[in-house]
Amino acid sequence: MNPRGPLTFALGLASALALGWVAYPRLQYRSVEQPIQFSHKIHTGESVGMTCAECHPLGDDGRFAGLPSIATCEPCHTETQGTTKNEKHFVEQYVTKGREVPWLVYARQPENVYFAHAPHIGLAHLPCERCHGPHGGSDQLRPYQENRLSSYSRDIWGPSATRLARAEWEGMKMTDCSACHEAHGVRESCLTCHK
Amino acid sequence: MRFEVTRRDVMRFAGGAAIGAALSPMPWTLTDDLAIWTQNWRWIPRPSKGERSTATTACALCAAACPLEANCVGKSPIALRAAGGAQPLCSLGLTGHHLPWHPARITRPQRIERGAARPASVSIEAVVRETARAMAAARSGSGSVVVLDSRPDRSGSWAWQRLLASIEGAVVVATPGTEGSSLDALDALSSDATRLTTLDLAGARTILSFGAPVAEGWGRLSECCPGDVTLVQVEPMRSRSAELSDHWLPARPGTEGVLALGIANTLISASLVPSSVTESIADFAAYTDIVARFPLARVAAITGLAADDIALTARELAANGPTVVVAGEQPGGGPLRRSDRVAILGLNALLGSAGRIVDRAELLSPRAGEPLAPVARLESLPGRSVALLVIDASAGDVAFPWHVVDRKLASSALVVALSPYLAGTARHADFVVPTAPFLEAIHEIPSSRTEAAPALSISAPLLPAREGAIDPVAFVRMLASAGQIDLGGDWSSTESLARERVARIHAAAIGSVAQPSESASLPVASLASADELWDALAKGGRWTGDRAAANPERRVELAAGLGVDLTREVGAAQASDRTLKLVPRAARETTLTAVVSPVLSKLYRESQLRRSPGSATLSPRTAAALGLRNVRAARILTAGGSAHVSLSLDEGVMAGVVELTVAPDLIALGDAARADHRMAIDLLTPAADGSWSSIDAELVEG
Repeated sequence: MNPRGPLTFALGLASALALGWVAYPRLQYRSVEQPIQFSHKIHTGESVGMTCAECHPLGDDGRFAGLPSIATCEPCHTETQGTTKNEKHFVEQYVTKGREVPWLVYARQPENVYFAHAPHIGLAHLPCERCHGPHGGSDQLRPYQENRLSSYSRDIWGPSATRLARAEWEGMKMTDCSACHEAHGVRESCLTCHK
Repeated sequence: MRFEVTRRDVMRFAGGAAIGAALSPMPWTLTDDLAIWTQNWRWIPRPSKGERSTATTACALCAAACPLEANCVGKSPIALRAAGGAQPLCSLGLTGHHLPWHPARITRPQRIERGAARPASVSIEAVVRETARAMAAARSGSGSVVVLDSRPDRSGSWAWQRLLASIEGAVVVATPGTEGSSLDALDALSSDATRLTTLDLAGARTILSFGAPVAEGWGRLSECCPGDVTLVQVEPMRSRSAELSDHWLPARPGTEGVLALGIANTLISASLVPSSVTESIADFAAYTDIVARFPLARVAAITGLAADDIALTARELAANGPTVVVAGEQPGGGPLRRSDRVAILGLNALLGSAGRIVDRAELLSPRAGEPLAPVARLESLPGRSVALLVIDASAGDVAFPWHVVDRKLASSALVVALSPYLAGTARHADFVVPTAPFLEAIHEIPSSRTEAAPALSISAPLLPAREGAIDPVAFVRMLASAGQIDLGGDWSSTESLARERVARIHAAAIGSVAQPSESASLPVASLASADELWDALAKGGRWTGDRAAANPERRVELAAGLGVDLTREVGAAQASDRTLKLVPRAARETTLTAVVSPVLSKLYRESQLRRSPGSATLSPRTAAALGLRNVRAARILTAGGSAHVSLSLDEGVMAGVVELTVAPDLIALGDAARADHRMAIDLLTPAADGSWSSIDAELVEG
């Protein structure tokens, strides 16, 4: 048997697999570093002992405050805490000048979606980790990855290209929301979340 | 060694690559990303960002004027819901905040040349100049001027009447199929033809509805008749109202009047009409002679209903009073034939509901004592007599076949439409003037012909009007100025006239305002100023005035009102039993607007929860008789033309009937307009009296 035929076929197969599994996922997203590094672990760890809600509170009216403003950081960071380059940069460029940090939000929802934290936290009593994973314990901020075609954050699709064998908090696609709603017997309609 | 690439190598490599690609996530994620990419093109409008807030107003999309609560972000409404525990909104109201961004929205005046592929933008000055020229020609006797008003009794309606008062023979006409227009036939029953009458539905325990979509919001019946009301629906289709009724009588299309006379026959022959009632009927003996020609067996044969069902219905109507009989407009099908309506509405007198035929209390006009052009019926206009037709669709549209109006137009007539959209009736115009849609401008929702008491709601804008939108009242002023007509006063906008009307209501201190957040109505007399009344209305409140007092002396003339050779008509109906009957079908809300949210495309075209635009449905039995059992596409032929339709079979459709979905059409759902686009409703050729509720048709494969 002439091995040339199967070999050519295998070459095509291997090339496409390499393109699809290795090259394309790298091309699909562009990475952008956060403006400064931030350690959730230090803030939520034993030395500081803060909770998620201290910086990301849910207001009395149910409105989620989102990211903390620089005023939240100011009481502790009027002067540099420690000797790291990041801390020095943060205090000099943002706290002292009263500028907000232009964070790149991993969980930012697309333009056509409204997501309300209030019913999920206030009514369903979901912990932050259910959707955001162990983000509160991270020591480093990973680069923000933006899809080159859709401009969506990578966290919407999730880190796994196949979406197989993923943790429950990995992925924020509509099907993920619907699956959770279905599992909890919560009714939904298009205009509940979409503009 | 020489390695030569052959065509076979390329094919093997491509085959391996195709399988490899399919086994990788690339094609699947790429498909997802590309789909999202197409949703984010820069010209697609972005919802605004900002503070979340709520605002209340009234829905202006139909006469029901449901109070709305809007969730707003950055002062733009992003979700609508019923305010104050009112009934849930219909699909049109729920997605009403999408309409200002509908693809058919226009913000510049358009000229539609016959046969041209696309309309062309023109200046508003050019439209005013051409319209004023046609008005001047009409004033010199070259034809009449007619304004088609899709929502009579607005301040805008008053402005048109004021303008036309200076033009001999000019009239304002309600758009064909406007809700409540069926009740015009009541006037034929009254011995005093000078008064407009309507039905007082308050306190009714039984409602016999001939085609009126009472369960879909028609006539605000749900508010008039809360609690345990028995609904008997007469309709050839299994409509939503038919499904929700207590009894559904599927009479053959076109035989509704005969059924009414059959019921009358049973009531009289079974002595179920009290003598006090017969005394209020001026020509009872003559009427008895007419209905005697319609014994149950004959009526059953004509209508396709069981004689026992008709007799039982008649007895229930008499026993479970007060009963009110309404003839309404089937969605997309307009009113029934005039003779049928007279026969149907005459049952009210026979059932002892004569006291419910009441004078219609009129809504105060914005200004008193000014000359106004008369309001006329379209069918009263001579054929080919209209030189200038203005279609005021600024407050909504009504689905009707263009033939109804077209046969009244002179060959060189100019048609000007006022509409926020290049869709619906406006597509028949030569010029379209862009107006501001619901949520972008003040819209008034006055009481409709179906309400016994005058009422008024104000839909306040929640969005700034887009540049280019013309206020209809300002357009009237422009025409007056161009035609050198002195209208007097300093009113120049819908809001200024509407405020004058509200001030008159406040000064008269009549009626009360129901507010969505309050359980009790607020008497107008308790409000300190007209501005307070305005604010209450602008927040979704509805003012209701006093009902006209019942006139115990009123006598009705049933036989004279019929005024037709019923035997001849019935004979014609029986002769046409062998032909296929085409019946238009639509959800009520989609027939009251030129456009619906493109989101509803999922409902109408993808989910098949509602029938698709332009699709035809018939029973398997009829399909088999026509040789169309396994056919998915067919051609409908009527006197109005022909069209290709997708065909579906449904056991629930009456034998010998084909139901044609006439609304929403593809442009209403957001598809791009084509020069050859034809609306399905235009296949329906109207009868001489302007009705188009059912017509003869042919259905062939192809």
